[in-house]
Amino acid sequence: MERDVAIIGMACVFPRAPDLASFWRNIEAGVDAITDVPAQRWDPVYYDPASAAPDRVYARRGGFIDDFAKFDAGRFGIMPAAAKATEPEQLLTLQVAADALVDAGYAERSFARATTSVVVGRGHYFGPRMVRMLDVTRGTQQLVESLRALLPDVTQVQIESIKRDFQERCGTYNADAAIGLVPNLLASRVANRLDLGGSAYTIDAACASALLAVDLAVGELREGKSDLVLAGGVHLCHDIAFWSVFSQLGALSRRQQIRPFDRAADGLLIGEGIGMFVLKRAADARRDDDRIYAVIRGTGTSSDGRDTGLMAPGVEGQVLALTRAWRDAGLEPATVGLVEAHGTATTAGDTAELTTLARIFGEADGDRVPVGSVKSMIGHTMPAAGAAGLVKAALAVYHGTLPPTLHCDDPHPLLVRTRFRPLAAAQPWDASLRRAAVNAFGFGGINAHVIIDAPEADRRGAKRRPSVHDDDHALVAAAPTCAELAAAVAAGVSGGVGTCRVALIAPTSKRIAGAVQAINAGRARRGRDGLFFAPEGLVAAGGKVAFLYPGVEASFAPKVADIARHFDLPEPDVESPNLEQQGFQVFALNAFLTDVLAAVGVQPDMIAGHSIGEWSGMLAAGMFEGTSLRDLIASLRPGMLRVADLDYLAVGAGAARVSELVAGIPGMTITHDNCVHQSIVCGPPAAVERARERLREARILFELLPFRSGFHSPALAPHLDFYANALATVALRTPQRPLWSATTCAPYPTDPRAVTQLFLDHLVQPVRFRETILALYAAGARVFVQVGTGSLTAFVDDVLAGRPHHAISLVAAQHPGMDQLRRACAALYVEGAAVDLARVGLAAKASRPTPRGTVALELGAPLIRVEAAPLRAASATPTVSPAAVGHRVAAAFDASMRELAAAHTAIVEAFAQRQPTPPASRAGGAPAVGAPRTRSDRLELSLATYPELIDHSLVPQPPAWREPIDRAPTVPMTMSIALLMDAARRLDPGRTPVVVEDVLASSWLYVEPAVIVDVVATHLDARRIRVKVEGYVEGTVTMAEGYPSAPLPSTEPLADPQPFPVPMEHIYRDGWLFHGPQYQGIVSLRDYSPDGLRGSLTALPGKGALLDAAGQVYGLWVVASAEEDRLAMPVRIDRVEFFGPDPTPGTAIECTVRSRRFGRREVRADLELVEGDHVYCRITGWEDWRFETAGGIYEVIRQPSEYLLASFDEHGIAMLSDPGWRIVTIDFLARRFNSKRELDAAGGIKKLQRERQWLLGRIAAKDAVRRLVRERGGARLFPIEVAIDTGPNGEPLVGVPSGADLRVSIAHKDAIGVALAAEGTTPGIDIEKIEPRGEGFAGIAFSPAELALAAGDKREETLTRLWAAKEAAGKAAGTGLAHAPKRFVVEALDGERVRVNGRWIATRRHLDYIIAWTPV
Amino acid sequence: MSTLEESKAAILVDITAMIEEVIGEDWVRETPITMETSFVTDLEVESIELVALSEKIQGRYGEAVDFPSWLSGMELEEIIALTVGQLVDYIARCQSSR
Repeated sequence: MERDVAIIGMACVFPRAPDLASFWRNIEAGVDAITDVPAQRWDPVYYDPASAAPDRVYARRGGFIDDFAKFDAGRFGIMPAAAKATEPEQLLTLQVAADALVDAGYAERSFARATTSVVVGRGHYFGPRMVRMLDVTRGTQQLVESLRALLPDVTQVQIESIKRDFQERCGTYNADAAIGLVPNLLASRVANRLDLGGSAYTIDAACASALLAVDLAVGELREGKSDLVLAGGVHLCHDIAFWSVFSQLGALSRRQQIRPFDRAADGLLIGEGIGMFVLKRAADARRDDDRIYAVIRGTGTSSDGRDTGLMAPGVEGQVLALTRAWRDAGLEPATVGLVEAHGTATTAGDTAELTTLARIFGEADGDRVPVGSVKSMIGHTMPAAGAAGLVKAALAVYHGTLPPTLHCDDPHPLLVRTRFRPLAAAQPWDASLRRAAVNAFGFGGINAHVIIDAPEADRRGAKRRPSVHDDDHALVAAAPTCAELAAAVAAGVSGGVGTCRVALIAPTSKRIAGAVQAINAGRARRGRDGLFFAPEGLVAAGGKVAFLYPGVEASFAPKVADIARHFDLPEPDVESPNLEQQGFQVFALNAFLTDVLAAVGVQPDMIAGHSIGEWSGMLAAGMFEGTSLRDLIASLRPGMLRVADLDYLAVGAGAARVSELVAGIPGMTITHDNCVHQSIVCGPPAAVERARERLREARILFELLPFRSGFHSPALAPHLDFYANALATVALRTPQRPLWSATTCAPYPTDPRAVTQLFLDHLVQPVRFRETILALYAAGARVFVQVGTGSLTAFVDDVLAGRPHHAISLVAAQHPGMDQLRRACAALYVEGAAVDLARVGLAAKASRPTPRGTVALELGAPLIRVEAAPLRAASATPTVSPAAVGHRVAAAFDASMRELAAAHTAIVEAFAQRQPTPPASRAGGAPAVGAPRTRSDRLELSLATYPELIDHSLVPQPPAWREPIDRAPTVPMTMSIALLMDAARRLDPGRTPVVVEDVLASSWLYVEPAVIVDVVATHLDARRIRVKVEGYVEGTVTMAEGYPSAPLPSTEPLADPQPFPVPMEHIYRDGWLFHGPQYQGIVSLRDYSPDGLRGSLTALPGKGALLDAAGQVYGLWVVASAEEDRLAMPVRIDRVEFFGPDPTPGTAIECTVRSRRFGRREVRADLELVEGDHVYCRITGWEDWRFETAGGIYEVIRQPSEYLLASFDEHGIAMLSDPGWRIVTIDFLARRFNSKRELDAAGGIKKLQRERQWLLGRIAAKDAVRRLVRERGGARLFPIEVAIDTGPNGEPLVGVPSGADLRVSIAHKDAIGVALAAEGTTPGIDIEKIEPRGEGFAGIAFSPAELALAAGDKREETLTRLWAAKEAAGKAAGTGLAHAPKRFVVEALDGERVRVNGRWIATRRHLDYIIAWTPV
Repeated sequence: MSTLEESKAAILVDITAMIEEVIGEDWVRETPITMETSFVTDLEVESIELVALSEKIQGRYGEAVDFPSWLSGMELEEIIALTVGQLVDYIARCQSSR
């Protein structure tokens, strides 16, 4: 068995390198990423180069990744609040691991998840959240004890207040947060979120951890225990305690520079980062056509034994590891071409390592081999050090570049004696064999060595990929302005937002430089050179996208096999043996490419076709049902050859000129007016010969075409009956999208008879393609997509020469398959069309500057500074005034203390309960002088305090349903804004809140049962107040003496306004919005546009109801504009400005929504609310998150009573599979299909997120019952109206409102749930997976006679069939198998039917499962 | 430089300008067009563009140069391999034989 292991994917984050591409760029360029320690990592007070104290350190420079500690919470289904409470290393490792899989090409592509393992090297250090736990538990008490000891007179109130304040400043610490601290969850979380079934664990081998992880991964793969391994290392610990260890050891560089192998090296600097690899057996990687960075040939590990002390590196142990690795690889050490050394730059470390290198690789003899250490650039990344080194070495062999090492200006004397040399600058590495070795040696004497080669294809002399950063197919970037875009591209930064966009195919440094020049020039580029750039894209500027479908062409040889593979679509047959056949294949290809466009999310605004390509257009416009187009063409087949005596001639001149030239030749007709420089004529061969002579004389190019069909000429007229008859068998629908006719140069008619007539006219009349293009242009088309192969893009360019437009072909001979498709998608992106670049591998992967919706993680746990004035000894009856203490809690309680004038104990008690509601009554007690900086109030949010919230319930339930909790009433985001403003007013009652900024919701705020929230308002400065509703929402309120003067409404137009597609009276009725009467603030809608939507609102009295109505308008715009994931809910708002007081209820408000960003997961808009002729409120940066609604989920979420989610087969079996729903989807579904009572019985909603099978079975069961009720003529029940309880034998007991005797049987396996319902009889159903079962199982489950039935070649399947049948029979008997499977006897097997205890059980195979059921 | 070479150099300048006009994209202006530049492989010229180029050649050189008949005498493979230099040579031949 081949022992080589391939590195097929990598991702990392290291100092100054947010991703793999930037890390490599930094390495190549020799970037020194060392900086001063950020204050949030440890406080400057600890830095004291003169001190030797254990709590002081003498160095303060290192490598830090704080700027890149951004976690995309939505991507992994983790709520932002939970993310902030989790150790950052866990989340960032998850993100980097997922990025590595994306890099390996497995973002969408399936792989063996069940046999994929995770091995991560991680030191047993502590992260910031763990530090905070120590602060909360130990630190608080230490503080309290110290205060008591030092200030004997300090009161309990003061102690409690300081303690509470200290703990609150430590951040959230609760059960969820505690889980986020368990260290091994680092690996488990990766396996969990990415659904991996191999082993997942962390290891600690100090600084050798990452290479040890790789060594273990290689073993897993070689032994066949895993088929894929995510391996790597992580270090995100810069706690002062960690630094103190190195400072005490004297290992840190006093000159604060890390200089591996330099004579002047005086120690290390600490770095941090994460590197992850996707590893796979090399043979498998080649089989699967994976991109291979490098092949691991051998690994070796060792311990120093007793060689030296625990902290001193031992040469013997290192030599052992290196020897073992080269023996493992079966290679000669002399063949090495690059060594990435451990290189700590400590005296002991460098000396030992250089001695080892000399021992293994020999002394200097001739050509010297480069040695270096990436620590010189990023510092020592500890357990992740081996990962940083291996990333560097793998990219070096892959790119054929020998990378530099820094600060080795005067090489160590021992280095001079080895055969190695440092490189100061990158050099090309042109050797045919590129072999590198990586060292990682850990404290305590643990050593690891890994040997890698460039992939075999390279060694065989195949040319390397062309571009500098050739893991990118293209550089794709966007920015608001050309200047910003040019800067981003020059810096190699991809991604970004804005309508100024560029896409550069094959981005070499030279081409990047050219692109920057083009961007600075500011002129659109739509070039064949693979540079697409638009200062403002045509679609972004309001242009429309037209799909153009080609017909039969003279040459037809599209290469689309790789596209089919990429999209997992059936490959269209395009090997044309003849023209007749080609007709079919053109349709097949066109339809295939239509599917591809749908898959990448590109939608046409208008459709046209050339010649019979118009039929493809009809298909795309939805005019044919099902397979009717194929049937029609099949029936036309003979007709396509019936007219034989005509020749077609393509002429290089316009139709007018050609008509003049052929005038007078009998039988000649113009059939196609293609463009300015081409038309097609046809006629009898003799006439065509005369025409050719005239054309030759006129010096006009022409070409005889291989067609003889007679299409588009009067010659076909006698055969029209035939076509009319064929067409009569097909039901044509009216176009679902605007389809233009090239016969009339106008949109298709809607009247069916007119459509039929046009279809026939099209056969005998010329194709007026040139005029059609002009008509499309006049109707707004600017981007033309040729959905097929052919010359239509050239025609468009010819017709529209000099006018802004972009003609894009999905297929081109010069760039086969995916190559051209990527260019087309890049072009569409640049023009501002919606297109899913990630789907074609063009997304700005890994390089995510700061995408919206990410959570910035705090990597440090800085000192907590309590904002109290110095404590004074207090008397027994406290007289401390808030002004004196200045402390918020004490301040808040001062009022109550004076009011009560009570004893000390009573005050302590009052403190324990904190402030009672309602708080407003106490506002008058606040002191006027020395106003408090902060104030905390406790509010009850419930249906009792805000009854209108029942109309803001997320889950539609039957009108008479008694349990409000099942409706999930929720605080709207806009009410939260009102609460923030209330809190600001309470703190600063003299002024008016005029702006609310940076509003971020971290969790749904369900109000049933009632929740008690703490609202904390703190002055940031004289005008701004930060308000937090702890755990739910926060924002900053700006106070002013009065409202600013109201501006006039914006005049920014909405392009191409249309009526809103859903009539107003259906909006609330049909669940397009979930809001009940007290939130139904939209009165009417108008001006629906790609840019936005306008609505007339009425101000309703509910708290936040008016702004909520504005948000509804935006939600509706998303519903109408999104193809999928149409449900959108607000999560954050950048800025809300008020220009006047709340309008009185009933006031008419005009609202305009302007879409600013339409992302896959998040969307943003600006909203303007106008009262009369002035703006009342302006909202910028309103962000909604989109929730998945594929596979019928949207309908069920909207109208649970009207729709079923499960699918049904012909036997009435309900089936539901989990495609990997996000957690929030599980939440939505669980609440719609179950009452709180049912959910509690199942262990609660959180449990369902992990154990989804139960929910799948429940949904299937309730849908089975609901369907049965409907079939019996009953009502359309809500799922919650079907109660399912569990009987004594575990059997489901069904209750429906009618009291009918309905029964159901449920089964689930893996991600599939099935159910069967029946009336008056107990059904039984089971699903089992076909898999090998041991003889032990067979012996217990089956009698010898039963086993005999399963003899034969499908034993596993048959045994599974019999077992499932027994289970189904057991359930139908109402008892289950009751641990006695042999009581249910299989008596006969007849095909798929199984007779159990005298009853026939039906079975069928579904994928790898057997479903068995009692036929109803 | 011989007269023939001089006239070829002049023709190349003309043809380059015509190609830039026909293709009408910035990148062509940034791409050096030489005698070796291929119409199909390097410039990805469409047949329609050859027609437009043909009109321009006729407008510039008149009856002496019969680009259409020269082109129609070629097999498909020859057209795919056609270079700017071949066209320049052809025009120079037509002019010198006049």
